[in-house]
Amino acid sequence: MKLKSVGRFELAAVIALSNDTGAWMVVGADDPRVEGEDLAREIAAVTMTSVEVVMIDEPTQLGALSSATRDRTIVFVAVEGAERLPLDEQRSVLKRDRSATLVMPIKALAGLATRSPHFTSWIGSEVHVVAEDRFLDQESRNSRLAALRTKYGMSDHELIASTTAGRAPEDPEIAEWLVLIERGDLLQKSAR
Amino acid sequence: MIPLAERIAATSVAIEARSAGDYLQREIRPRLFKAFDEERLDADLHEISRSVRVTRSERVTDAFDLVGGRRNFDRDPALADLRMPDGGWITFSAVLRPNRETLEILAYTFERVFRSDAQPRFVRFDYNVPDHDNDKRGLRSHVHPGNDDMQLPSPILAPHELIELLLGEMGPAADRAPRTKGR
Repeated sequence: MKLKSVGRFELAAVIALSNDTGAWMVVGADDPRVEGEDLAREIAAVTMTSVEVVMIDEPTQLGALSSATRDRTIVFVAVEGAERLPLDEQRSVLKRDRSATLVMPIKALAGLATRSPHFTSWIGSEVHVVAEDRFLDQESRNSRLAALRTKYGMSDHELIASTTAGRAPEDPEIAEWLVLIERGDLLQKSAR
Repeated sequence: MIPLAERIAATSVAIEARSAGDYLQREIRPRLFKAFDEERLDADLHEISRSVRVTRSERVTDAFDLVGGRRNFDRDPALADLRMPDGGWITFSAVLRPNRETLEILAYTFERVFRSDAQPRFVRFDYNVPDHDNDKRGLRSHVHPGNDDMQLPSPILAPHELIELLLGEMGPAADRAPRTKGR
């Protein structure tokens, strides 16, 4: 599974382009509630339609919630129990007419491909985290990386080594760092 | 008669937006997305996302810079971010100051560069900060019609209007043949 770091506008634009196909998009966020609202506003601006945010309080309700909203553009937010979403089990009722975006904690992305291989393959084996605009260009990315290296007193290589050994701190900034150096594949290890 | 500079100043408009970021999200990026979707913009979504942004203003306290693409004084195609299908591009920056529920337009520069053999090669709309030399000459808001040394008075446009103008079709109407008068 590939983890891509993209700007919120870019993500919203991709969702807008595939809105009529009812495609699903999975997004990891430090605070899924806040990201869900931000993303819904951005998608609404790009598509010039209204976009609803729907909280999934009970994981088993996913299929029913999706069916009930299949003709609208929705941002689903799962916080508690995101690891228990029955994405494969309920996949047959996840077919939609308008797109759905599922925002969950970054840590819940880690085992997604293992827990729900069919759903993961159905969405093109790609999940996303939103990068703030200011970190999108190379120069800003480099200065952000320099700040992270200073803060944690580690080089990129040391980060990879300590993450692989399961010794990296469990901070959202570590996840961000891994994504910035295109080692999002190690998130699973850092989340243990 | 009211002097021209005052008449031009009266064309300025308060932009309805809660913040510069709100304006970027609701009025600027959707226009760029529409242009992308209609193939009036060649830049891909990542390039648009990366190169169009709002930051704290470098020059004016309490204001924000709305930036689209890198500065490109030499009109180098290699530095063009918001490329267009004719081989040209647009680049812009604007200084906006939030006032309660609106944004005040303080300054801008919006340039459309056409393909390398086009005549004119570019057109640029400038609105200088107050007390700039051009302001003293009554030309705070002006347009360069393909010549960096030539300035003609222009109304003050809002950034989203300039983006629409510059990404739009500036040639003759579809049912009229191109024409060249004089030599």
